[in-house]
Amino acid sequence: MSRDFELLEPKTVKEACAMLSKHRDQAKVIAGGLSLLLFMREGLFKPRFLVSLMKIKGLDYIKHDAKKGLRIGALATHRSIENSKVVKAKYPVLAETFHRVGSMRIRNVGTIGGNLCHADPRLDPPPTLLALDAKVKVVGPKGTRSIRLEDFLTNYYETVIRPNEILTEVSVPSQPPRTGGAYVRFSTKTNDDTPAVELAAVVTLDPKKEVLADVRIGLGALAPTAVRAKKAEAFLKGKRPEEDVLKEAGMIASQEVEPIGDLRGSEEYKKEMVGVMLKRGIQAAFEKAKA
Amino acid sequence: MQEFSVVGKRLPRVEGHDKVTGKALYVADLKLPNMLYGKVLRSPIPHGKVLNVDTSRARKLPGVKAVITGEDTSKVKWGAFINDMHVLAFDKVRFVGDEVAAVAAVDEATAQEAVDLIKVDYEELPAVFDVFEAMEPGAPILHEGNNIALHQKFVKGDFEGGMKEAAYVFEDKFTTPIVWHAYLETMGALASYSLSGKLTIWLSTQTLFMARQRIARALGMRIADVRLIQPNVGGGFGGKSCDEPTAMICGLLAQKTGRPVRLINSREEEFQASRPRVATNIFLKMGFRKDGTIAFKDTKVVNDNGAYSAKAPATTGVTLTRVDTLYRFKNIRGEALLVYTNKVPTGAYRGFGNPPMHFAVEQMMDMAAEATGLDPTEVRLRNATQVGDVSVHGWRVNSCALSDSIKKAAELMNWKEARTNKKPHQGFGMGCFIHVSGKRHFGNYDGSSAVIKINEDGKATIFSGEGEIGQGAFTVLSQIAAEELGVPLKDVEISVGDTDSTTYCHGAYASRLTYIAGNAVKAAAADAKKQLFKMAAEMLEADPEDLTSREAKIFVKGNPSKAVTVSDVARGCLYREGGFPIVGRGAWDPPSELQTKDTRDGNTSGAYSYGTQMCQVEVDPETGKVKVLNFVAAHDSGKVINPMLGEGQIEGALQQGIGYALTEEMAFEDGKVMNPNFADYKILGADDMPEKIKIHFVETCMEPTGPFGAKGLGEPGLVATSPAIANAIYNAVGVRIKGLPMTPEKILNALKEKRANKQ
Amino acid sequence: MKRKIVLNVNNDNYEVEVEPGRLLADVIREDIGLTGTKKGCEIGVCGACTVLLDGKAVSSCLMLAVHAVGKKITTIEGLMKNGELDPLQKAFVDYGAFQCGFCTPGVLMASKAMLNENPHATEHEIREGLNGNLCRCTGYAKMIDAIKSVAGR
Repeated sequence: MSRDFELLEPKTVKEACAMLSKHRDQAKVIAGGLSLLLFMREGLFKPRFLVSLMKIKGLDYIKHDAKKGLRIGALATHRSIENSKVVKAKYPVLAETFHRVGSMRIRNVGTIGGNLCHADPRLDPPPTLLALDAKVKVVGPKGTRSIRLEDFLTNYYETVIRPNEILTEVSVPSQPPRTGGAYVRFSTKTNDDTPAVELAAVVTLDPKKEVLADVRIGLGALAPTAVRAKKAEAFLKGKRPEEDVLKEAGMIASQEVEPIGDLRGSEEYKKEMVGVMLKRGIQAAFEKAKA
Repeated sequence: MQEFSVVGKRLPRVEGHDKVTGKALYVADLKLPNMLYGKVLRSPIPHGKVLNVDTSRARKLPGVKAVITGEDTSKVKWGAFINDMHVLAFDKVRFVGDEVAAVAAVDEATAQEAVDLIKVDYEELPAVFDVFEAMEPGAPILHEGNNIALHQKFVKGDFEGGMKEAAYVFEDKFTTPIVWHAYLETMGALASYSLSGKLTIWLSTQTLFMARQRIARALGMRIADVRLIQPNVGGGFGGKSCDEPTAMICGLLAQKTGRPVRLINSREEEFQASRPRVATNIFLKMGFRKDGTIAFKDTKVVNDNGAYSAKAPATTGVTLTRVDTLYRFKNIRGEALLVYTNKVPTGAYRGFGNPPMHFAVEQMMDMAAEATGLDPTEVRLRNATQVGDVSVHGWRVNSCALSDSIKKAAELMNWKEARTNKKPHQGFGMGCFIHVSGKRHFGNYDGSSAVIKINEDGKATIFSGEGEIGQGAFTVLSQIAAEELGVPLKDVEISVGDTDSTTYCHGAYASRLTYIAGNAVKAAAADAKKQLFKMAAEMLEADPEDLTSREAKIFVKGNPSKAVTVSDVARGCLYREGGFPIVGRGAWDPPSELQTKDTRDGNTSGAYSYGTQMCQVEVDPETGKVKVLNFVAAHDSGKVINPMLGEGQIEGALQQGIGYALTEEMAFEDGKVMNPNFADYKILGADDMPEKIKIHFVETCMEPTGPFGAKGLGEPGLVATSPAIANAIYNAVGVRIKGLPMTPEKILNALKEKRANKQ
Repeated sequence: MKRKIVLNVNNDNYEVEVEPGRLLADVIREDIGLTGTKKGCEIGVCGACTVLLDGKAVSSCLMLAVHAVGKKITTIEGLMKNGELDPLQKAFVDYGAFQCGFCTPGVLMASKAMLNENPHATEHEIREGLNGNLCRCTGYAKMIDAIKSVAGR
């Protein structure tokens, strides 16, 4: 691992942005450090400056109100989100998703901000956040930007964040009544393996609780970024979650992704599993929404 | 059944406190004054001539104390069976990961930086990665002549006659991949060289004396000038039996610099360049008579050697022949080929070639069950080896509880009822196995030796060079000594493995320690006891023949009130004119024979262990994923010296066996390992294991030649695991998978094919 | 450029001089000399390097030493109290819950953190909680029995 870097420890976001502006390509942001240190160990990043966010106070909040919805500070750890009373109560699918991230050790240290900025399409939280219409707040010297998560993630390990910007907050709007969500994580080897398919299904039902009034599906580990299965969503909207309907939705969704064949499954197999997991995810979300 | 005081008891490990408090030292924890750190440069290409190695920039880096290449070595090739390995490449590199150069520097980071500064000019050569392509004319040749490292063939019994008798014949190809030991502690060494000519190496190893021999040969040194000391070892499973050059490279760096050097493999290096399980292609044809007995077996095995042989020649012979003593095979034909390819060299891993063949044969036994209408247990019972059998290769079975293990497993699993009333997509499967207790193949010796000194306070110290790699040898050998001496376990301790202070033995492999080292330790204890009794007899004014010992007291049988303590006796023997300390010595070489090369005839081991495993699985018909719900293991290892440790060995073996069956395989692209880490090579975690595991030791047949009736236990736990799961999958959803690992995709594709064939 | 930092390990303060890139696992093992914490994979997957940071289990192989300043670090050497084995350590010895011992410090620290948060963890929770610690020797069965015996009290 490169020893030739300087660790800078700003006390505010503004200070951090200023440091990033000064050092531009030579600097990288470090929070929990899990993903960054892995990449540095592989020699993929060789920054001369690491701008550590760990001395910045007040960025690890988890707040909720009916109007603004859920707001999570970028330095909130996966564990704090997993255990948060308000997340468990208002967005249980999010708590379930964060529970599945890595191991306890990873969840104790890894931050939601670090996770989203690392933009590895195989990580767990993005599909669920996408399905919940999450937004991110990004702060730079020129001001603050509010970006939809699906616009934020652009490619493998790439986002729209500029070298002198810091992601400060992730927000999820309030969910309408009769909404339920499920997170399905299908791995073909061990339980802790990178999954072959990640699928988050969030459905809102009609007042009779029979029809999928609104459907949002987030998919992960199947494309250069986590994505929404928009065509499958449109197909399912207004329909009952019956066997044949779900089967066709699955086929539509499987065409919306480009999985890579690897040890976890061939491209064809993964596409087929998208269909299976979509059915199971929608069925589970439907049950949650009915309750 | 004989009653013992110490043997057969569930006693905690003797080295336990150090391990649970973090005090146990492994080689990466050791430090010597003035120590340097070593790093290795490995080939990035699968096949090429080494034209030039430019170390000039590396040498100039501040903090670098030595840079060595193949030119610094004796260029003597070495190996367990075929001398085809170098220490550092001097003519060719033959796999991605092949050792080319090494650096010793003041810290790891500097050593790594120096390694990155070494410039090697290769003339890249065409490479071959598939065993069948490697055998074709015109294929790139790795060593000399052709790529066939081993070729053996035999025919036994009345093969033609057997073929005529077969009412049912099955013919199939089975394949098994390269899988890793994945022990948690990577390979490492700490070497220190004295100008007197002595090289001391603390090595993470499971075979001290054999490592010493190979290191001495490779470095051109006298055997006894190399001293090997075993620190705590973080798992071995066959992978730390000195088949790769870590210790030699470390030793050379120590010689070159005159300073101690510590060299520890990274996890990635471990995956690239250790000696994992040999991959196999098994062409199997078996014929059964109407009554389910085996009429003939025809086997062809084509094994992947990788770039160097290591233990693969012996592993290949085992794949071909060990199963032949599981059932009463008479008419068999066998052929095995071991083929070089430009991939990681394969070698010894728990089970040593036996698991792949069981994956094949045990599935065919189930096919026979289906064809004959017999229960799978019944087919096995009708063919099972029995005590007193001499098998088709001349292996002599002194003890065998195979049939008992089949019945016991069926009872514990509630087999008949379970299979009759099973839920949809659930299935029950079984597999039987045979394994050895030691194997005679490193020269005409498979023995062990030990020395036991009785300290003046009455505590016994065992000096054994066999070592401990986590399997429980220290505890089991201590229990055996304690039982023989008649003292409690706390009155026995066992030394660290050190080739200077212990006597020759072969180390941990082939499940030999309880059986062979156990007998040597028992003999040493008996010798010490003889001396104790002689002195005690004087002190008690009795006849040595009339004495017995219990709880560290020696007394005339029937008169325990008049006793002397072991301590009294030890002192008494010492503190007198002409006194001497009591030191017992023992050695034992099993009644086994060196096998003939082609036919593998000759009683290869002194004792054979047997057993049956059964499992319950659930297959998800939409994804093909298998969940193992329940496992029963009924093992015949004779008398089990410590059932708690024995269970632990089998539970651990199951983790490896289920991984072999379902999740583990090495992936390659152009010879490069694509998953050299725990994120991409998946071994089972705690919540992947079956929730119900029942282990039973079938102690209905003691091994007459074993210490207190014991025989091998360490390896068998995974030999029958993959066929048990394969057979359970078939019972669940009617598809048979013949290639490991049995991934969800393979199972789903098989299910689809089955549905298509039905229409 | 090296800097002097103070790390609080097992209630003792250690002053060490480290470069910013120095990993916590290396400082604990090499500079402070507490070798009970092991390095098994260096990518945070195997759990052999598990230490507690303010009572929470973390991978010391994936943490900068400087990020551990100001926190209470507990390693395996800090599990014993007043010369007595922690109940978990004692249970591991009694149940035969380890073999080669290399993963054991990490498993014990992870189990300690688990039971600190959830003193009466069920078998299912224990299995799930152990999921980040790899073991190749034991098959985990006796570890689970040992932890259950402590959780049951």
